[in-house]
Amino acid sequence: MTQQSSTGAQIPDPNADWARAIAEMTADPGVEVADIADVADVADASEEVTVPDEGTAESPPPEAPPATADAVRGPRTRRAVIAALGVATIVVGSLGIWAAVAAHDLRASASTANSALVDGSTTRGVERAVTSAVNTIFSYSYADTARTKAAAQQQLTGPAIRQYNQLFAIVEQQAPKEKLIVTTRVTNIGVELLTGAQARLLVFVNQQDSSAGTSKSTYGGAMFAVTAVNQHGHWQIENINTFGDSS
Amino acid sequence: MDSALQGRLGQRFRRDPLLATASVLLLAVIVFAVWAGVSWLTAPRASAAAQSRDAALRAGEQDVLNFNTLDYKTVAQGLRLWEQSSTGPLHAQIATGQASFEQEIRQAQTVTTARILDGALTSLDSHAGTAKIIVALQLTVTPAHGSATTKQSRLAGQLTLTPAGWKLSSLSQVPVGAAASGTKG
Repeated sequence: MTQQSSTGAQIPDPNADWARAIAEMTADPGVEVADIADVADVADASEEVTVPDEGTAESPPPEAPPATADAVRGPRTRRAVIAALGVATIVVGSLGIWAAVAAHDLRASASTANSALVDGSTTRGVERAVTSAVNTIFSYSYADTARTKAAAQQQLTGPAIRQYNQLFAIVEQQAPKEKLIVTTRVTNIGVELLTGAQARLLVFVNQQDSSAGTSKSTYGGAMFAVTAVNQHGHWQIENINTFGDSS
Repeated sequence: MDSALQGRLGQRFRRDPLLATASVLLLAVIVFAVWAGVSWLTAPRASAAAQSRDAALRAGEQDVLNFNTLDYKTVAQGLRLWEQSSTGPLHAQIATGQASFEQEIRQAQTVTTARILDGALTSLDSHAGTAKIIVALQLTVTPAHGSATTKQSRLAGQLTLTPAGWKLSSLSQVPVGAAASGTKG
């Protein structure tokens, strides 16, 4: 049958006419002959159908309805979906990058941000510590300057140790001679800068100098800027700036 | 169920790798954006109080500088600057004492300039709009005849927030001696 159809396909229409003519001539209208003509016609038609056949040939697998849905939606819809995905990726990605950069900037500036007075408890803590340290290191009695010097070493660190020892060398010379008792009290203190474990403060002090010999008191005032560092939870004075001239 | 779904998705992605890649990329970018957004939302921000503090200190130092700058040749102008730098009681004080003060300076014939050595706020209430400031100042007083003298000065003042910014409502030298601090010994 297939061979017949293939030959039939190659045989032009006149052949079919010829077949009909034979069929008319024969006494009994043979089924076979009529069949041949039909087959020839079908063969003609099947040749035309072969092109769309390829499309339907892939769809048959019955277990994959999405594939047929895709095929129905068509390549134009698919391209639109991919484009939309791409645009969404770019938009969301840009937002993400912006947020990441902004967050990084905020964190970077926060690590160096001045929290003086904003962080109330830390501000009061460093004020208290520096006040106590200043009162201690600048108060002394001629009878026992060594005690003050020893106590000062615990309140000081870095360059402040050398600065203080230079200053205190004069005290060690003068105090016993004049029988001096000096009491230093912080009157005003303000934190200018507070970043993490570092602070800068402006300090005003009043000093009462009493001479044990004369029982006379003189008063003086001083101002200086102090840099303090927090080491192991303990604020220490790292630098003392007396503005070139402390009167 | 899961494996069936995976199988179906896998089949579909195998059929359309471009669509699959685009979907996976978008998913990854969404995850990244959510992480970045959370990171941004939880990042610490410069507080309003910090900005208020910086503004108060800056304005306070400038006001103190204005109050310690006076030229006998331009007294009226100098005193106008004082008025602009002050509010409340200090402002009233200047207004009432202006005439006599002007005369005093003209007679003394001095030019006073100042330099801020350092300054700090000792307290801040950004809600009430009040602050206290201390300033270490270096004053140079130049008389019409004779040489200039330089001295350091310790000043304490109060600041009040006005519609035109922070202004001094009081300013005085920190007194030296027993009267200022708690007397001891």
